[in-house]
Amino acid sequence: MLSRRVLLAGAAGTVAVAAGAVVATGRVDDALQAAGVRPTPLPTGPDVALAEAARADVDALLALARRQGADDVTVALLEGQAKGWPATTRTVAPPASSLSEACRAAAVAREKACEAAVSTDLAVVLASSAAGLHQLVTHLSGSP
Amino acid sequence: MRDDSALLAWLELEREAVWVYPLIGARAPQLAAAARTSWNAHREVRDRLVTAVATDTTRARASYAVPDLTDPDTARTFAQRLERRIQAACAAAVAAADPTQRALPLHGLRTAALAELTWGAPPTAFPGLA
Repeated sequence: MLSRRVLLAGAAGTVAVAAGAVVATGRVDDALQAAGVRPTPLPTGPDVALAEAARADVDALLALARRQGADDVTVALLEGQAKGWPATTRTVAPPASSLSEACRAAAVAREKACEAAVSTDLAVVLASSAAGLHQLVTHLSGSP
Repeated sequence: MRDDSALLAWLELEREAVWVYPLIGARAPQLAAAARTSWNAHREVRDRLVTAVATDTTRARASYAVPDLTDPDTARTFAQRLERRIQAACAAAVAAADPTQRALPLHGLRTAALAELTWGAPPTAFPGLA
C-alpha cells in the first residue's frame, strides 16, 4: 500500500526519490528502469487529477460527517480514506445531500474514475475506495 | 492471447463461495438468511465471470476445506475471510484488466465488500487492499 501511495503522489519529484536519483520531469521512466523498478504506467496528468478529485471529495465527505455528528466508524473510515490519497489544495463544494447519498454518489464517481484511470495502481485504489464507500452507505443505512 | 489468470483465480473463489454458503445455511440455521443472500450474490457473479473468461480452465471442486460450521461464530469468521479473499482477487483482476474491462471486477469487489458486512464485519476504508 505504501508503494502505491508513493506512486499516487504523482509528482516527478516523488518518483525520483523512489528511484534514488534526481531526474528532470519526463525522464522518470529512465530513472525507474535504471533503479530496477518495474515499468508501470506512471501517473499522468489526468490520473493526478483523478487522485486529487478523490481526495477533495473525501475531505468534503469527512467535513459533512463531522458536522452531522456521524458515528465513530463512519468518521474513522473517511479519515482512513483521506490518508490513502495525496494531499491536495483542491476543494469541492460540500455535498448538499445527506451523508449517505453523498457517499453513494462518491462511490459511483470512484468507479467511473477507476475505469478512466491510466495507471493500474490508481485504478485498484479507486476500485477499493468505491467499495469502502459502498460499505459505508450500508453502514449508514443501519442494515448489513 | 488474453491473459485471464486473474479472472480465473477469482472464479475459483466464487465457486468456493457458491459451494460453502448453502453448507453454512444448513449447518447453522440461524445464519440461513445471510447464507442465502450471499449465495445468490456470488452465483450471479460466478455466472458473469464464466461468461467473461475466454477459456474456463477451472472447475468447481467436489468439496473445500471448512471448519466446524455448526458454530455460528466460526461460520461468520470463515465467511468474512472468504469475502476478504474474494476482494483481494477482485483487486488483482482490476489491476490486470484493460480499462474497458474493469466493470466486472469493480462489481465483484463491491459485491464481496457488501457481503462481508452481512457476516458482521465492520466497514473498512479500502476493501481488498488491507
